[in-house]
Amino acid sequence: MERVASWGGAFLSMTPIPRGAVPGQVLFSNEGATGDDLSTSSLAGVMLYALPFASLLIGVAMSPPRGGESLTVLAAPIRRTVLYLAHVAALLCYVAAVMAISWGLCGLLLLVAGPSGQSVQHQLNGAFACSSLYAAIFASVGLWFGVWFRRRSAAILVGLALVIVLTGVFPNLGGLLTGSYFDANPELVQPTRDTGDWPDDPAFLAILAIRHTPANALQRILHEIADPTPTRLDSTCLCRVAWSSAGIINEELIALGAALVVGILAGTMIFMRRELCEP
Amino acid sequence: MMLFIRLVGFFIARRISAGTALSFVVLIGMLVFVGMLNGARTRAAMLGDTVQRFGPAVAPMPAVSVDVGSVHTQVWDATNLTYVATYPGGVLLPLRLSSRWLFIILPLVGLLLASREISQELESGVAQSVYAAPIRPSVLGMARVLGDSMGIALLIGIGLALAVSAAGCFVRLGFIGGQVVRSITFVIILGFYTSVFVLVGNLVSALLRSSIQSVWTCVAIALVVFAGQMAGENLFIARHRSYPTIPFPPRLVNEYLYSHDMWMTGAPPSAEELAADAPPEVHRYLLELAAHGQRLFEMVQADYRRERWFAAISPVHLVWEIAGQLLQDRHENATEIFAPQPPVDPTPPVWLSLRRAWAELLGMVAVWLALFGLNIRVLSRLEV
Repeated sequence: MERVASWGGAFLSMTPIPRGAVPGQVLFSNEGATGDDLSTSSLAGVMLYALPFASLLIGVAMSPPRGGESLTVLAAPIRRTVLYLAHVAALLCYVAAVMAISWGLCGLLLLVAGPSGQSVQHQLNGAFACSSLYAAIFASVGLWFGVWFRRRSAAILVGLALVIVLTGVFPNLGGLLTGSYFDANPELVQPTRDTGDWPDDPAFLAILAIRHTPANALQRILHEIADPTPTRLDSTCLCRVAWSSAGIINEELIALGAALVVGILAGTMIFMRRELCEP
Repeated sequence: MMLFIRLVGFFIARRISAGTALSFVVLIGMLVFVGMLNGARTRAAMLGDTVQRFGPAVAPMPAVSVDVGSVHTQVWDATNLTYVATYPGGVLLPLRLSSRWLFIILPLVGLLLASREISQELESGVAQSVYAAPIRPSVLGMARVLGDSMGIALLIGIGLALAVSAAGCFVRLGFIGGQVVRSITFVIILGFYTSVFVLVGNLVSALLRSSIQSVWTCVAIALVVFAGQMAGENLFIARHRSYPTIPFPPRLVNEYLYSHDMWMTGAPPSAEELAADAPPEVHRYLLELAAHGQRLFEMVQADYRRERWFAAISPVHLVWEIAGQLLQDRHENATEIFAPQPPVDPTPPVWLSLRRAWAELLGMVAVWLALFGLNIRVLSRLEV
């Protein structure tokens, strides 16, 4: 009996994250809310961490090759922009096809293995849309790096560095800066808690920008898909925030779309100015 | 011998001063630094939320439920939650919260950093000058392999140590003696873990002789490492058996335990105390909890032992097991988080935790030695 009441593990009465209990959590759970890294073995973890790197590699592999082939095409009366955008279009189709096949297989597995119904279909559609967009961002960056660097191995190394920053550093940085901001401005916690609107302070804009980088945006979308209740705990500002799920998803989808446009535009600009002779 | 030492020193210096390697170490350091700061903040936020929801009268209890997933994940998460709630300070918890991603990213970094080394020298013709020197190829190969792997291990180790120290100072985590020794050991092991993949990268680079081909091959190997980890975890989820459960304790139990000064360091109530002043409901609940805890612990231990075999084919699981033992200082064995027994006092020494993961450590050393031998063999016969 003496050993029973000793303290040795998790709080029995403290269950901060109800896992696997919400019927909507078929594809994604709310894990990661403990501040731990998101499990890399979960579907959400694979999407967040492996998908960027894989799509970056696809982008690098599909970038216009240096030397003969591209030079021959460019010798024809064709604009460089058109050539690059054709590569982008092919890449986007490829990424969308890969995602459609992956999620289609996932849907088939779900149909065979258990939970089905409208909520799963809704989640699958959402997951397909946002993962395609997310993969397209990194693929377009890969395409851009493939043009920018003379050696593809260098493009892959720099791409890996970017993936580490975007998927590893920024998610933590976003939470950290938000928390620090609310620590410095405690009077803003209550209004944020009540309205769910972020502060108008220009200083907060930089934090918002970091919070809307691709990995952060996707993570928040996945949270909303997993737990679409309108009120949820935001551990970074110590408050419960009443937000509309649809609002968050739209906001984050816009952020992902903007990142994709930036990736494509930057690639086009680089391609316009780059020599395409052999390295 | 002097020549060999000088050569090793040369290759280490070359590795440490390489811009690419330095950039990656800075990035990984940033990753750990920011992760640790955020971990410390999250811990404060979660503790605040707990107190807000349940009041201070929340008694810490043994972990009594096993979620779906591998037992390793459960042990890791349960330890994190315990630390979140009852953490006296130090770097262990933030390091736990920020380190899991490193187990996957370090192999990738090690492989990619090494993937172009030898092939690029062969392509550019530098290898011809190097191998024309009056040094036996086997000595040159051995010095190179040793220097490369030690250089990267040193770089990663120093980078991580700096990041952990900086984060510790920045948020005043406090440097507790035992925890510092554990963190340093962990960082050294991570450096060694990376060096294993440097050897793989070197080998691939020497065998394929083309930098782009070896980069793609190394990327494929890294993806296999990632897929192995993912497959293992999902296999354990698929084979997850049902564990016994027990309802959450009534508020009365919490209040009783709290009143007996159980909040942070208090001793558990004795059988006499319980018999004398515990309400029957508390008494009954604690008895049920004792039986449940013992049953659960035995099941968890058996499954944990079985899961450890997977480390034989998954490097991520291998290093994770070592980290699981090393980054906790409450129990002699990490699985005891599920045992209905108090933490060890005083904290167990580091060597005891390392001994718990002896098979994984031995495996890592054996793989390193095998790769070292293979590298020397390939490099001493390299045609330039």
